[in-house]
Amino acid sequence: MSESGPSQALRTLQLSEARWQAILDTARDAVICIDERGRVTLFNRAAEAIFGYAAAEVVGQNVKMLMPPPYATEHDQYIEKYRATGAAKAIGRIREVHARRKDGEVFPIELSVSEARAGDEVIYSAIIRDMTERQAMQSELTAARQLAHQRERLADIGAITARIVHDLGNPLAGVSMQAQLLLRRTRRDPETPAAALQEPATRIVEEVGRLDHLIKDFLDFARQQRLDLKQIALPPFLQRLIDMWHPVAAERDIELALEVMHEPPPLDADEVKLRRVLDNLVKNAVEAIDRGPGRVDLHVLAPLPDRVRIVVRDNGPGVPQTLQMFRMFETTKRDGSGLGLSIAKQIIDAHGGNIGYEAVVPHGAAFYVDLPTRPAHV
Amino acid sequence: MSTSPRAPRTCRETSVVVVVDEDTFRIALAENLRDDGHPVHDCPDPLAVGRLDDVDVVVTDYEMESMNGLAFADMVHATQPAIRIVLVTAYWTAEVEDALAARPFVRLHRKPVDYDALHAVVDGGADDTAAEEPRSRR
Repeated sequence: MSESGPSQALRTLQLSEARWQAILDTARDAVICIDERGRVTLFNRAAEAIFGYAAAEVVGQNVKMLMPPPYATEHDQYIEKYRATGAAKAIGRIREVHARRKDGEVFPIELSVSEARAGDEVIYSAIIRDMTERQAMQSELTAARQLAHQRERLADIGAITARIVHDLGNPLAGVSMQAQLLLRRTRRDPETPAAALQEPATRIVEEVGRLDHLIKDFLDFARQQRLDLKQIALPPFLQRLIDMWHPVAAERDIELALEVMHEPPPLDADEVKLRRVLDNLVKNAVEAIDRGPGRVDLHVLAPLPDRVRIVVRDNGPGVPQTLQMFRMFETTKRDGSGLGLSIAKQIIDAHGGNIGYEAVVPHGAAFYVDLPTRPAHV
Repeated sequence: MSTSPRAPRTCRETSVVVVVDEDTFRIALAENLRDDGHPVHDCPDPLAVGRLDDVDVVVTDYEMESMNGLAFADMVHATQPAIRIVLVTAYWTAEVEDALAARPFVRLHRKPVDYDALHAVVDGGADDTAAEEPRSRR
């Protein structure tokens, strides 16, 4: 015969109580309940472990004993305000705040508070997760990332330094060896005819010129690109570029042509710097073909009303796929510094534009420069 | 059986091949060596050097377009182990140091090169002292 009436209700209540107690006892997180005056009514085992208090030390006390300033001093006012206005700061949200252990240690917690009502009685329940270990791990992770970043930067600096030393060291070695040749010859025979010294001296001057060019490239790369914007009419600007390169191209049997597909809008740009970028692209195209017959075409497009695209296309051998050509020191040229395109990228970036490359089928290269007609952020 | 010590060569008998693709440096070094009486063959490309049968010393660059100088040194040493090899370089990284440490048959001169120091090695009088030895990485 089954139980019924009050004894069944009592048993159901006992079972429910036991179930909740089991849950509270095994929970990893602290569960703390307070009444509407802030007095602790429940303090589970995890709360004992986290805060270092026995439940008997806390139950009946104001919960602010578990809080460091400023939470401790503000808590009573907060409850009062909530009761008066219903404006909740913590209820229904998960917040990262700090709590205080019995030994006074302040530690990070994740706090979620809910509210329950039984008749006139209000219960606030807080689930508290100790974030000490997680924050320590995050700090370690952040420190490890910073260290890795720092090491990468040092490695980059090391690689760049080695490259600069190499690029300057080679012409310097040539100058030095030529100078030693001159000195040894003149010491051996003070009457050495000047004509015999001309070739070493010429080579010294050439190598010093190479060094000078390199140093200027490094300086250009290191210097922030400040623009002197002026309105440029692109067709005559590009025609002057073509006219300047025409003799060089013709000497190599390379045809150089300009095609303006649409009348582009006037462009606000730094004329000298943009000319430097395009000089670099045309020079690269001519040198890639080396000896003709070959062809280098400049196209001007206006893909959008406020942007222009300049394309320098050649039918040379193209660029190796592995070459990251806009990075420092990336070059396929024997005597190239590998700075030309990285400086070009800096200049175009400073205009708020974009420089890129597309392979040409069956062979060749197309470098494009996209520019806003009116740079916004310069 | 005993072997008599090899008679020291005079500098005029020491033939040198200079394999460096930096023209200014190669030409001047070759001229300096010729002025000192050495038969010198200079070549910008290690792949175009040809046979090294009567060569005593090879001076080569580290970074060259067609072949790395260390690979060239390995090739020379494998076929003609008696040839002294001098590597000149302006490239100085830990990787180069490690590569040189593994090749005791290569003597190193850092660019810019002091001709007299290099000539002492070419001359055979400074086998172990004049050349810069590869440094161990710290």
